[in-house]
Amino acid sequence: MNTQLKIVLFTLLVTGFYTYVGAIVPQMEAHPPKSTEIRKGLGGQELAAAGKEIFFGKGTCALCHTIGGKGERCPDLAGVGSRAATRLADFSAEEYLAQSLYQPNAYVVDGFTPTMPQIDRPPIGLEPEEIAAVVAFLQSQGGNITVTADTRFEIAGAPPPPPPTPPTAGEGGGPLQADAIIEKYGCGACHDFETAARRIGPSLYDIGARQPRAEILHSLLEPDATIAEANPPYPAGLMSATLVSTGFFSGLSLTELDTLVDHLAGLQGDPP
Amino acid sequence: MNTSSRGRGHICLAVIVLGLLATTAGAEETDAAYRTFPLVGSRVAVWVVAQLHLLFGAFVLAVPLFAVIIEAMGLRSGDQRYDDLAHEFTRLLTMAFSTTAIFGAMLLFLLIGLYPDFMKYLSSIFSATYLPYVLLFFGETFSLYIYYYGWGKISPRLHLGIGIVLNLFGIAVMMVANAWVTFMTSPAGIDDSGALVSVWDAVSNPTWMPINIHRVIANVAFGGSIAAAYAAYSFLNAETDEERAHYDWMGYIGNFIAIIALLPLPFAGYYLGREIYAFNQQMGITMMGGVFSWLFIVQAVLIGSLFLAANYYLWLGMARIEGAERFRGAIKYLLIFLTLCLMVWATPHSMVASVEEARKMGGAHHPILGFLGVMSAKNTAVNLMILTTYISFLLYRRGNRIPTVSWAKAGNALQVAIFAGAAVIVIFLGIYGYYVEAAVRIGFSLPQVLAVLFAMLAVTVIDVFLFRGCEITGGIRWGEMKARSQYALLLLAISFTWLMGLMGYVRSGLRQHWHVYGVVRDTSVDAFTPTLGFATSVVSVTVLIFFAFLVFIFWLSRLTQRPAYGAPEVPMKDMDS
Repeated sequence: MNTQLKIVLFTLLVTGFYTYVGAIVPQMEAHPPKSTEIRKGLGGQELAAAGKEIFFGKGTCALCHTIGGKGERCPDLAGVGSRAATRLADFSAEEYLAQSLYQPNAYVVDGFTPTMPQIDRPPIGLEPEEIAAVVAFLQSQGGNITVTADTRFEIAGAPPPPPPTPPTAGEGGGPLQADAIIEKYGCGACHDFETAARRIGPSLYDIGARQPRAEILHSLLEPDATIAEANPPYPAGLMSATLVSTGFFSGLSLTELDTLVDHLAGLQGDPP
Repeated sequence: MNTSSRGRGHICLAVIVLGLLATTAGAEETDAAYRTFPLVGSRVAVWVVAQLHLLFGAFVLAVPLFAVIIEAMGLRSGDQRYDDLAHEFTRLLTMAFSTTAIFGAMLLFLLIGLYPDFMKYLSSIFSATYLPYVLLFFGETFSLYIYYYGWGKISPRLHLGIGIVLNLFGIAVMMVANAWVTFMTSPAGIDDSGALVSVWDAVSNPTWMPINIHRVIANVAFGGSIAAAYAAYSFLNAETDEERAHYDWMGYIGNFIAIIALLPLPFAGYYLGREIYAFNQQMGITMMGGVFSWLFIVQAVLIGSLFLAANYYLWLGMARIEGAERFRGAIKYLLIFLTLCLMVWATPHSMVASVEEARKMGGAHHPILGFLGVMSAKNTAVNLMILTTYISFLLYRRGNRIPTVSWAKAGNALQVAIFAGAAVIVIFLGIYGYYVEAAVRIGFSLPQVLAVLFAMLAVTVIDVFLFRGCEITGGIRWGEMKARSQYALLLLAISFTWLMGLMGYVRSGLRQHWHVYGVVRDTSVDAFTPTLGFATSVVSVTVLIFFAFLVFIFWLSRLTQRPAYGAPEVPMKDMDS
């Protein structure tokens, strides 16, 4: 074969191989975070739910913080709603949480480094009502929700809020979000996500408070390995069969599985 | 194949592209924040042109660096071959230099045309650097042409001095441009509204110096590999033994330069990564644990290929060294060890699996392999690969030499002890990393790196003294290389180029939906991070365009060596070692 042709073919082969390697790894598209709509005067569980969405989305808090996990990079926030009031003298839970968000490095939990960015500044750039929602969500982790969407925090030395960032442009496909996964595979037909009411299967509204993330993952991968005790008992084998028939195991991507497990782990039920 | 018309075609294409852009821009409203590039979109157009500009820029910055070193070696030793080799490397520069400038101009036009608001903001920060950049660019251009055309025409020492000045200008030009790019990732020197406070602070932003260092080293590795690819291309097309001998030797030098620069490159990468984490932990996590985490598996495959190709070339090269047969037995062990390290390095933490497969495996983390997919194992693997490659090089170097100094045995034993000590430190810290918290574990990379660096430096120093006045068991039969060794050199060049494209994507992609991170938000239709599959396709297309241009430049360079039309052929100089 002609040497020039060999060189060209070799170059195409090597380049093609690297393109192939790039194509077989998991494919993810990362879109700018969506803004969460927060009505004026919103409070209680609704505000906490909005805060949770921000916590796992626009706020990017879950990049470093876990809820019920190991908390290697930053403190785990399970139970922070009740713990917050005991952190600093003269600081209520609400004040402590607000200060942690506006001035994250003013007080750093022992064993961690001061790496958290100020979340009212770009690139995160949460609005005041979004920060109130995050505080409500954190309070819901074992404490009482005392803030509303209209609450504004007075933090000594905190700089004025930055100018609003331009709106996000461009929406795209990518992996399904948790709500869409639950709807697509009909999870709601057997499980209640809003209340503690039993259906064909157990309620999942507080599954995150009852089970660690790893157990939730295991229950999804092997639904019949452990069946919750109940009277009358839950039907064995039904969930496996249902998930197979809905194409859950064959159609769900690992990224979507991860999203679903995160979502379920975050379902904490009603605050005590 | 009419390559000269193809080259003209490339230039025409560039002009057409710019014309299309002007047409598109003119058709839209004049105060638009963004304009659309036809067919491929603005982002891909800028992406490809910027990458081509960077690749040619890296080449024209790197070649003078090692051309001057080779010229200095020739001047010191009086060996004319080195001087000729440096001259031949420099011959590749002139055409590549023009191509770099053309792509630079195209990039500027595209940016101004497609991203006018963003460029207006960037100019509000860096306008003070524009004039110095132009002056430095003039300095680089003039010194390059004096360096090239003055070869053999002016005093050798003065010529060498001009080469050094050329390098200083080149590095300064790169550093100014790096300031613009790194500011986009880690902005500094501005107030809360994004307005300029200090130009110097904006220039010396947190990732500026790490990128400067990383790029200088990477450019040398890349330039060496491209020069070696030129030699391989010429070797494969050579018609006489003299030509083959010459290009074999040139390929060896190019590969040597590439490998010497490749070895410390991961350490420069650590430094850059650490500074990214220090600037913004979220950005660091996005890079290593977020949307880009799988990119580093692709990177491991690429760097693994580089190490394997470099070692393979050295092992094949030992066949042409009389006396190197005694080391042949060691090669298979080195190959096994390198392959094992590569497998560990390329092991992902989460397996590529369907949920079905994950169920069978008991989770996304494989029960055994999952342990190898973490930083402790990967750092250990890459450090051991560097040590192994260095051993290959050492064996090659010793191929036809036997030490005659009285302390030869003790020296050898000391070298083995140093290697073993470094390996033990690397492996111990790698295993210990599993038993400590992440914050402690991250700190282990530095002693691992230092152990390897110390081992390489110490062993080199000992080796230099050990082989002074050594016995030479035979010559090197330059030109007697298997053709597949030259494909190993081509693999090196393609892999380096592809790797630069991939890492350019991650460096830029880290900003996610920001033009300037946290300051100027990207609100265009491209304000999202594309999939790795899409990114790698763009990288591949860019690499192929780059090599198409490169073949043209190689052809043009060889054209100048041809005798005048109608004149008799002049044989090449004897290249015996």
